Amino acid sequence: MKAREESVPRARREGLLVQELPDELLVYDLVRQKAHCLNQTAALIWNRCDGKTSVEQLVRILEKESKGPVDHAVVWMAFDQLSKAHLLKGRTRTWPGPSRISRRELIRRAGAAAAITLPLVSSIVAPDAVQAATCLPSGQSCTTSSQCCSGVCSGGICA
Amino acid sequence: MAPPRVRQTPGELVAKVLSGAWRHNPPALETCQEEIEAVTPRLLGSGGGALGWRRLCNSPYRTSPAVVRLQQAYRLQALHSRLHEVEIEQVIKMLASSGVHPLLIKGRVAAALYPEPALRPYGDIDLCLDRTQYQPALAVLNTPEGKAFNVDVHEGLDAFYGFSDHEVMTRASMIKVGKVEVRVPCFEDHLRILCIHFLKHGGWRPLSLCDIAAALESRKDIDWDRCLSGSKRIANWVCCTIGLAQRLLGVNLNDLAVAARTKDLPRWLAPAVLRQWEKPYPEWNETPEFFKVDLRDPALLKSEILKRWPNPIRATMYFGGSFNELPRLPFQLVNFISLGLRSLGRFPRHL
Repeated sequence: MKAREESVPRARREGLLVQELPDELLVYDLVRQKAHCLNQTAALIWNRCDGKTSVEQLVRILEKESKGPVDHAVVWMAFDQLSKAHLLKGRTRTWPGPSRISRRELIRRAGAAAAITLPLVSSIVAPDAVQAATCLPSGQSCTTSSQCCSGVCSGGICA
Repeated sequence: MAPPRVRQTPGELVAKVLSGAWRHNPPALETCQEEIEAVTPRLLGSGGGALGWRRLCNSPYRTSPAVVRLQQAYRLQALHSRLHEVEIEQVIKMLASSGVHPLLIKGRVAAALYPEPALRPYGDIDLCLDRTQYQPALAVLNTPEGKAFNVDVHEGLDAFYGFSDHEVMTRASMIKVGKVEVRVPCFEDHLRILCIHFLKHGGWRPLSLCDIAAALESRKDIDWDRCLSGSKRIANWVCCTIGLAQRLLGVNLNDLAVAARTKDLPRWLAPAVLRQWEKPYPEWNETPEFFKVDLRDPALLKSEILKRWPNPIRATMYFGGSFNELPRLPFQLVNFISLGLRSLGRFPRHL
């Protein structure tokens, strides 16, 4: 099948700042000024995107890492996410299977245990510290304690 | 039956979550969802988000929205720490090519004593220069390339720190930031700088006390004679700050002789810091320049006074006073009046 013979795309390396953490890889796009977080599977696939390795070889590597069978669609799902995050070079290649595969479909096909190997590329957004700085003073109406400067919301009013 | 939970103030919660967060193996934290929600905005707003994540990443609340926000702060700080490192490298190389060799202080130097630099956020690059190198450094940093960096250049060290520039420069040591070697104050001098800096800013930032805690627990052979040298007042300031780190964050002091000197804190000091930690946000700790006066509106007048009323720590430092049991009200009153007069002096320029 064509999907198995095809080689992996090339990862983009220019204009990126990479920081490795114990369980994930952080990538900051200096051009687009966006930060991404790659889980272990996505990081492993991205690091092997050299334009030479075949999809089949990549699947074997993943199987060795996760000590279990890995569906080819896992790799294509990672390409899709990495491409959307502008972390791959060239044109986006899509899953050459019969239809576009969803995360839910993949979990169903491979069983719940496969969920741990699913790739995930998520955006990192700055937590809203500005909102944090505008806490409500005593006497103001509130719904949760975290809204109040005093940290206590009692009967809908900040203590 | 579990004992009833004692309701803690937001400042006490901040102290509780940050206690030991700088260690390689932070202690387990007994907490609840309500406490986490109350403390998270305060940690995020004061730069303690990553340290908060470190305390909570192994707790049952690790996937709660509040803790996920702390994790995001940690991730962003990890990336920012790399960017900051690259920027320091470029600035140091640029200055060195013009024969300028600055002393790096605060941020990155403090971060070097944490298990990982991502646990601390970074602002500008603080560089200290001796008087002969100050103007050449400004010339380099005012070029288009130099302006790309956020550098705070100090001409010598503030007299507050109680040592001469020459002493600090000659005792300086080197650390590696990325691929370059940078001059930094020796450990004891930097510890003193961190302690006095914390008090000068009224103790509002919990992260600054964590810097001191991380430094204290990183060494067993601190030269206390050097750290506490000079006037009795300087020693009083440093000992009080170390005492605060011990009282509020549970820092372990290896040297028993110093532990005894830091034990007797003035009774008002720790509560004053905890009150600051209830609102540990930069914008709450800046004094607005102008008074809005409307004599028909006493509530506005009261709120304007409250916004400017100095905290007892800042007021004491403003006059270079000692931290003791004497009431702080005179310091605060005179500090308030002098700030008011200063603001009045600026007024005609804005007409």
